Amino acid sequence: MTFSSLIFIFCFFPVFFAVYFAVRKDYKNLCILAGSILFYAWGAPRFIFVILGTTALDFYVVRAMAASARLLNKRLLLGFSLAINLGLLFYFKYFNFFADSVNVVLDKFHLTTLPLMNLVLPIGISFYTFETITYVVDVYRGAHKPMSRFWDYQLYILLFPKLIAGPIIQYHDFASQVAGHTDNETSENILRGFYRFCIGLGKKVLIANVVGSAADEIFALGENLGTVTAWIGAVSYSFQIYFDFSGYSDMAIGMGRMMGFRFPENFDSPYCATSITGFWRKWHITLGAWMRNYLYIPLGGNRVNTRTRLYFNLWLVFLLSGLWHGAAWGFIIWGAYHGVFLVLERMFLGRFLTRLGKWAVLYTFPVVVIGWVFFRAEHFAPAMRYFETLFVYRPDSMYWRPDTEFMVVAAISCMFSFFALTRVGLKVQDKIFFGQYTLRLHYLISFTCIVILLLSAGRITTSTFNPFIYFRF
Amino acid sequence: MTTFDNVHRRLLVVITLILFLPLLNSVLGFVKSGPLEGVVKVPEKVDISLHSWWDGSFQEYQNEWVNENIGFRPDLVRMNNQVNYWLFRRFNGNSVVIGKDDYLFDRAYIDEYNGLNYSGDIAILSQCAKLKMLQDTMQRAGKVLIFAIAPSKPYLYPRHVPSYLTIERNFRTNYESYSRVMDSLGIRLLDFNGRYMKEADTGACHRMAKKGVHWSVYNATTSFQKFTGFVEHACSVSLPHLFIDKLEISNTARPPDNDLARITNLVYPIAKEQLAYPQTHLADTAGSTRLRMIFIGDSFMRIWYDLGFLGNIGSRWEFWDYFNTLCNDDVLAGRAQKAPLTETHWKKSLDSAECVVLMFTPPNLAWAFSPGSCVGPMFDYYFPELAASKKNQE
Repeated sequence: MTFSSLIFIFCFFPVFFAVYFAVRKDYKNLCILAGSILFYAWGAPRFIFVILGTTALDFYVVRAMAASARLLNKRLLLGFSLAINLGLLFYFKYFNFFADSVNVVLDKFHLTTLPLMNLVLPIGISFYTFETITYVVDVYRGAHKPMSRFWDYQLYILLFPKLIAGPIIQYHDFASQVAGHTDNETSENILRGFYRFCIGLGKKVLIANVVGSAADEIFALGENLGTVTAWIGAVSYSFQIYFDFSGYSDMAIGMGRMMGFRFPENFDSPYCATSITGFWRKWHITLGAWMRNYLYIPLGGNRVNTRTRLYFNLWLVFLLSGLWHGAAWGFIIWGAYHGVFLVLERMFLGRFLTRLGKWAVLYTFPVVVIGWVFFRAEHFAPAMRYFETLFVYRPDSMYWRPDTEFMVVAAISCMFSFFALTRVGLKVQDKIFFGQYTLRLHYLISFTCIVILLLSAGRITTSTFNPFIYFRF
Repeated sequence: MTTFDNVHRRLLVVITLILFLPLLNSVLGFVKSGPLEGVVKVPEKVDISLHSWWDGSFQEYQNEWVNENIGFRPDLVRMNNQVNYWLFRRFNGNSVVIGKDDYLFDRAYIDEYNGLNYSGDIAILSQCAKLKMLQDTMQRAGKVLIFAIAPSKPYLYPRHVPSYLTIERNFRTNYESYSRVMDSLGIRLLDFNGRYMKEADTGACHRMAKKGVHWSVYNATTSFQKFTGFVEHACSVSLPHLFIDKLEISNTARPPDNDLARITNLVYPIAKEQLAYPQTHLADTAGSTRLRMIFIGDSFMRIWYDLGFLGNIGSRWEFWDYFNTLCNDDVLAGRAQKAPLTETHWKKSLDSAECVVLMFTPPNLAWAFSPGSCVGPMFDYYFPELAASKKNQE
C-alpha cells in the first residue's frame, strides 16, 4: 500500500485516524501498532513475520546486553544483534549481487560458480535495519536505556508512516516520544500534519510522476537518444527523485505530526547547496546523520592521525552509502563519485566554492545531476552509454518531445528546487513549514491542500500504479 | 473555547468529510456519478483467504477494485481531465492528443506520421513482394486480391498536428514506403489516404471529424462508393451501387465521429462541429451481381461493417476483424455471436472466395505484414513449400 494510492488516501488514512482519535489515550499506541502491522502485512505479508521475529529477538538481546555487567558479554551480544540484522540485510539485498560479482571472477578461471537465489527484497528492510542498529548501539553506548515494554519497541520499528522509506529515526530521538506523543496531539498539529501530508502527496503525484514519466521515456530511448534530450532526461530524473522522496518524507512527517510525533526533517532544499558537502547536509538528512553517528565516527571520524586516513574514511562512508541504496555497481559508483567530490572539497575545492557564494550552485547542481545518471542507470555499462550521449553531441530524434504539461511541471520543479536560494523564498518556505499560522493562513493553506488532495486523487485514478522510488532501497 | 480552536475544529470537520465521502459513497452509493466512457478494466475478483493474502493477490485485487470503484471516481477522472485540458491541453490515461483548433488525434497515428517505428526499406520490399506473389497466385486460382489503405488523420490534417509533435519531414514513413512499393510492384492498391491528402473538406462534409480517429460517416459512405467502383473494375463485374439521397447536417456527432472525444471524459465537452450524415439507398442495376467476398481489416473496415455496407456487394461475405474475429451477415443481424477466426475456417473460406479485400490504416500496416498476423499466414497457406523451408531454416 503506497501513500499515493487511493486505497491509502480514502480508506486506510481516514479509517485509521478515525479509530486513532476515537480510542482512549492508553490504547493509542496499540492502535498505531495494529495499523502499522496491517499496513506492512498488506504490502508484504510474507515478511511481516521476519520483521516481527527479528525485532522480538533484538528486544530481548538488547535487554540482556543492558543487564550484563561484563563488557565482553555486552560486546558479544552487540555483535550477535548486529550480525542478525546486517546478516538479514545482506542475505535479502546483497547475496545475489555479491554472488554475481564473484561469479565473474570464478568464471574467468573456469571454476564452479556460486548459485543465485530467487530472493524478494522485504520492503523497507534497509530503513528498519538501520533503526534497529541505532537502538542496539545507543543502548550499548549508554546513550539511552533499553525500552521496558516489548510493544513500545515494536512500535518504534513498525510505526507505519516511516517504516517503508524513512525518515530514519534514531532511537535516542524517539525514546522520549513513545509515551509523550499524545500530549502533542493538538488540533493545530493535526491540521499542520494534514497540510504536510497533502504537500507531500502533491509533490509525488503532481510533480514527481510527471517529470518521472519523461525521465523514464528518455532513459529508455537507447540508440534514439540525442544530447539535448539526454540532458533533459538527467535533469528530469534529478527533479523526480527529489520530489518523489521529499514528497514521501513530507507525508511521513505529516502523518507523524498528526499523531503527535516529531519526526526529523529529511530534506532542506538540497539543490540549493553550494557544495557537495552541503548537499549531503540537505539531502536525506537522516541517512547522513546515521552514517555520521554509526559509521563515520566509529571509523575515527575527524580525529584520525593522517589526512589520508580522513579522506579514506570519508570516501568509504559514501561508498557504503551508495551500496546501501542498492545492490548494483551503479549505486556503488554513485556513492564513490560523491565521496570523491567530498574529499576534493576537503582538500582544496571547498575554499574556492566558499568564495563563489550562492553561485556555487552552478557547480553543485550539475555534479549532482551527473551523479544521478549512475543512480538511474543502476549498472556501469548503460550509465557509460548515457554519458557518451551527454558529452559527445548527437542530434535529437523525434522519439521524445516535451509537451506543455512537462514544460510547465519542469518549470515548477525548477522553481521549487531553487526556491530557497532567494531570501523571499527561504522566508516563505520557513513560514509554511515551521512558522506560526494565523487564522487567515489556516484557511488559505487548508483550501490549497484540499485542492492538491483532489487534484492528486484525480490524477491517481487516471494513472497506472506508480510506486515511490525509495521503496526499493 | 477560543476562536482559534473553533476554526480548527471546523476545518477538521471539513477535511474529515472530504476524506470519508469517497469511501462512504462507494459503500452506500448516495450520489450516483455518471459512468465514464471508454474501456473499463474490470479486475478479476479474488476472495479473501489465507492463501490469497499470503501471495498478495487479494491485496492486489482490492487495490485495483478501490481504484476503479471508489466513490466519486468518475467525477475525479473528469475533473482531472478537465484541468489537464485547460492547463496543458492534454489528457492522462489515454493516447488522445489535442491538436490545433481542438482537432483530436490518436498518438499512434501521429507517431506513424512522424516516421516512428519505421519497418525499414528491405523489410517493406520483401513483404510487398510476398503480397504480389499472393495476388498473382490467387489470380491464377480465379480470385481477386485488393489491398486498400484507409486514411490517417495526421496526413489529412497536418496543419492541426500539435507543434510539439511537428517535425521537419526529411524521412520516410511506413505508409509512404508501403504505398510506393506496392504501386511499383503492380499490387492492386486502393489508396484512400493518398487520395484524400489531395482533397480538401467542403462545408460539413469532413473527411474525418475533428473529434474522431476514423473516417467520418459521410466519408465512410463516399469511400465505399469509390470502393465499389474499384472492385467492379478489378473483378470485371457490375455490383449494386450505394446512392446518397440527401445530407442531414447535425451538430450532434454520431458514432464514430466523436470516438476520441467520447473517451476524453471531460466535465465540459469540447466544442461541437457541424457534420454531414448521408441518407442512402442501394440500387441493384441491371445485370448487377454480388461476389463471394472476404473483408479483412481494422477498425476502418469495421465502420463499413457497422454501417451495413459489406453486404451491399458481398454474397455470403465474411469480415475478419484484425484476422482474429469472424463477423458475417448473421452476426450483423444479431442472429449469431462474433466468433474467433479459426485456421480451418479461414482456409476453407479463402478457397471458396471470389474477392479478398485487405484494408488497413497506416499505423496498422506494419502489423498487417508482420509474421503471423494476416498477410503472413495467407502467404504460408498458398506457398507451403516456402513456409516449410523457412521453418527448417529457423
